[in-house]
Amino acid sequence: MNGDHPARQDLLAGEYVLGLLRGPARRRFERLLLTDPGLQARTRFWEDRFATWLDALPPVVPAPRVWHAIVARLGRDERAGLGQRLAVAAALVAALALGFLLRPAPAPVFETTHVATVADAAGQPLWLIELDAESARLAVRALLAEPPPAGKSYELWMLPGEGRAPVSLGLLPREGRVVTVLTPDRVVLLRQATGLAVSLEPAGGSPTGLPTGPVLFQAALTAT
Amino acid sequence: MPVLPYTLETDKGEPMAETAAGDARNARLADLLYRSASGDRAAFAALYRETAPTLFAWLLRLLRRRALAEEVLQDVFVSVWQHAAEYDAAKGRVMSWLARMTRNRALDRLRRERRLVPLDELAAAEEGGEAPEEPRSHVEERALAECFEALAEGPRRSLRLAYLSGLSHEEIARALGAPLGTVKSWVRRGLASLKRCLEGA
Repeated sequence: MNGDHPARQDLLAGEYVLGLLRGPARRRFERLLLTDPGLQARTRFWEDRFATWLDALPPVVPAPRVWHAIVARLGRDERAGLGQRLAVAAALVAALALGFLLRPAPAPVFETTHVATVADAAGQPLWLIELDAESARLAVRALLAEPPPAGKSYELWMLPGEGRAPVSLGLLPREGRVVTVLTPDRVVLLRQATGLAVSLEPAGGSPTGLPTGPVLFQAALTAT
Repeated sequence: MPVLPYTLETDKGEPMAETAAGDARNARLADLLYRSASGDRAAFAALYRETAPTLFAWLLRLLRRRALAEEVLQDVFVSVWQHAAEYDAAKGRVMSWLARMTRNRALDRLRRERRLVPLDELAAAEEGGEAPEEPRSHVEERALAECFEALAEGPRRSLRLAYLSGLSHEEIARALGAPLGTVKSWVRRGLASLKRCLEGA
């Protein structure tokens, strides 16, 4: 590859940016690119120009599941230590307070059948909630949620509709992902629920079994 | 008309200079990227909201299968999160940086997947897809559009099919019914003329 001649460099850089250098030719070019400032400048020239074509494409908003999957992978890649311990602690509190069973590491693969994203008024996703109706498991992952005020907890509720009272689904974790096992009747209720709600409660959850604090967020649970 | 998933913030009603609009957007994206690099997930979410619809539209054209495009988009943004600290504003626009990652990952996938859409249909789609010229937002874009229009038909169609639809030399040749050698020379001539025109602009 005669990389020194300017016109040749422009051509190679242009073909690279157009996606026309394939396989070994692309690898070779990328190796040169690492150390050759002139080639870097020529490549940038084409990248900045051709990228303007992208702005003319009619944008297509990806399905929410793509963002959910990205966030799930970020969590898996970076949060192993403290976050996980906090999540387990939060789950234990939730399990004790509300009488749910907690399985520390469920063996079967979690198959999401229903999903909800709790978002704030600005649309920032705060928690991702997934239901595996087959195995009666509910997974809650903290996304961009802020910690609750001191002495408070966020509690998740399902709204069964038809005038029936909200039913608690446990406390929301500050960090990490918490999986709880629901009783069968709760799964039935949840599948028919009209929505989910998050209220601010005293630390450890509502003392009455019904929301006592303000309802901060609502979300819809949809089948995947 | 497609509905944009976000609104562009501009100063109160004051028309921006053409370059300022592009630069302001780039500065905003760069800021979101820097904040992502320091672990700010809200900034990362905002970056995704603003750039994913464009990259996804491109991936749908490059890969032609939604499931594949979604997979690659996921990979791209996980990679953006992990490598955000490596972006250097001195080395090009944020969109160019994102586009490079997107294109390379898409090409890697294309090598492994067989194309499902006959190429002549693609070429037809490309023909029909020529949108009427919209008002351009910044100088680089307008310069490219002007110089691009000055190219002969063969080079012009070859460059678009390569960049926007991810076709190889061989596939462009088949799509346009031209010999491979001709397509290679169209690309070379097209790039050389564009470079001369853009530098003269």
